Amino acid sequence: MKIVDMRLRPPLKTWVGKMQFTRGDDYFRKLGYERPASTRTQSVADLLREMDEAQVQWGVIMGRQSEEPLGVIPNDEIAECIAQHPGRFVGWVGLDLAQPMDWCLKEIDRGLKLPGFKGVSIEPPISKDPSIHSPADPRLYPIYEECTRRGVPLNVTLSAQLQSRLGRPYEDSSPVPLFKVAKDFPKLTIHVAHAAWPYVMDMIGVAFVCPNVWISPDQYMVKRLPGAEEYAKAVQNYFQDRACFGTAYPSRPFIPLIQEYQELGFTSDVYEKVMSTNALRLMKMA
Amino acid sequence: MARVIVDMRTRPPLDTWVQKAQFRQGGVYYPTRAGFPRPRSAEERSVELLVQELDEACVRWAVIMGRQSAEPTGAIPNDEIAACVARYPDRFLAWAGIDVTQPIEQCLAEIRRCAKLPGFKGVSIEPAIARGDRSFWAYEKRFYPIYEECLRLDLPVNITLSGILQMNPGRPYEYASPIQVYRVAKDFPKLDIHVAHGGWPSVMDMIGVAFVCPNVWLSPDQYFVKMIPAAREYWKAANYYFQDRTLYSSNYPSRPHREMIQAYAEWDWAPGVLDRVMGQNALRLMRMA
Repeated sequence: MKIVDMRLRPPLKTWVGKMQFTRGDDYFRKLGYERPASTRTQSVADLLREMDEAQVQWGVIMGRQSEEPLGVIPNDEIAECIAQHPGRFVGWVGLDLAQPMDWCLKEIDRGLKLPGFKGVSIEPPISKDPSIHSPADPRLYPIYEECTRRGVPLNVTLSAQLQSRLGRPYEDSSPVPLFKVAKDFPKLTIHVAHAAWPYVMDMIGVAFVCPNVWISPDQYMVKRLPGAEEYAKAVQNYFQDRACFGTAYPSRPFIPLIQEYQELGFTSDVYEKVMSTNALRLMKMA
Repeated sequence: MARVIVDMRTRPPLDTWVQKAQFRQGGVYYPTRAGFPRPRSAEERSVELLVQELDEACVRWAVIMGRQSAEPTGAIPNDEIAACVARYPDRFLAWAGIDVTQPIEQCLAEIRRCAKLPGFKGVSIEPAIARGDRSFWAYEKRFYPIYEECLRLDLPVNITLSGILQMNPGRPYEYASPIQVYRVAKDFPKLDIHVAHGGWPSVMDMIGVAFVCPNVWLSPDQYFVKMIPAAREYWKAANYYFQDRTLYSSNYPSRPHREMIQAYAEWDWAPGVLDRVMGQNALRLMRMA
């Protein structure tokens, strides 16, 4: 099985200066993980070795152009990494929502022409324009129209942890506004990174009623975490075709997180979908 | 070393309290509804008998959480609590209840007065069931001087939040949301905020706020027993990343002591965590350890 990691931040030039690489340690200690060696060496070669050991074929570099301390990772830097390591990484185009809509639409067009880019990623609750805090903001609709027209999936990252890092309102990580977006754009595929944890039941509810909503609970779908078993129940029983695996590397190491996904009680067919085939289908790589 | 048990929420049968809902028989508080026996001391309204029951349950300290809120939960005079603490100085501790509908200068004066009383270790407010005719949010700026004063005096503040609390005075349900604590915790990162009743049933919201706010402490009280929906999520949080900020309480007389302690012990705890939950965390929160 070729595992696809839906959220992997390689040690790119800009990323190693951001908090995932500079401040991740407290988080690791709290949750009892060893940090991967590659986060110290900050070497992509070491990272590829760790991916090989864990049988992770593809790492999805989800573009990000949001407020500090998460920051802006240039799409060109992501493109360069993809080009240097063919067959290992794919990218989603990150958009800075504080830019004029014209820029966003042009960046979608430009980014999707770069080799290996498969989707578009926005983070409204932590965007550089704090007046945009909901994915249901009508100002974002041209982006949704453009993604629908092109038939590319859209990622929206939601989690209370992100809100806290910026001191932004907690409740903006609620997935409920996505219901409106999903209903207004029934042909748009919406992928929710971090699966809006800890809004677990709201996320499951929205995905239950919106067949175009996908989730990657990433590091939050481990059995010992509150709410995680509810994600797993939902995935096993009613949206096994719309859930994907993600490590949020460097926030989590590969092998221990894969082992924790194995402990969630998925049947073997569902496990394969979550770890691999769903993501490949989502990105039209299957 | 024997386990030290600190009960973060016990209401002794004081003159005023026995007239309130917790001691009225047959009401929604009646613990038999949840499968627990009614404590004999609650039936007989005897503080002496309560102390005996605390002895039998090996409870070292019982915290009397002050309350100055809307009926039927009502207002218990801090002096009545102080008299009980003075009578049993090795058994009871107290947090000063503050009526948040009073002028702010009066609130601050009462905090300063009570902080000097023996055995008073914190301040308790309940904006969601405030006296008068409306509810408030804990993050409203009008309360910020209270938080500043608690910081100045190095006292933790308690905010009681639960859906059931809203029901008693018929106040809007949504004011029980623990998300309101996020903003207070972010604006006062050095203030220790203790949430009694654990924001139940908004369990995941409570857990999420506590996850991202290291100054938020949590007593799930009577909701931390296996028969209660979502209690398992409290347990996972307590066992995993929240071991130092989860506290035990019986919520007596709504629950009996010995049986509640037993119910807490029935969860599958990681090594050492139960000792922290049953007492060590409370002692640290109240600057007694």
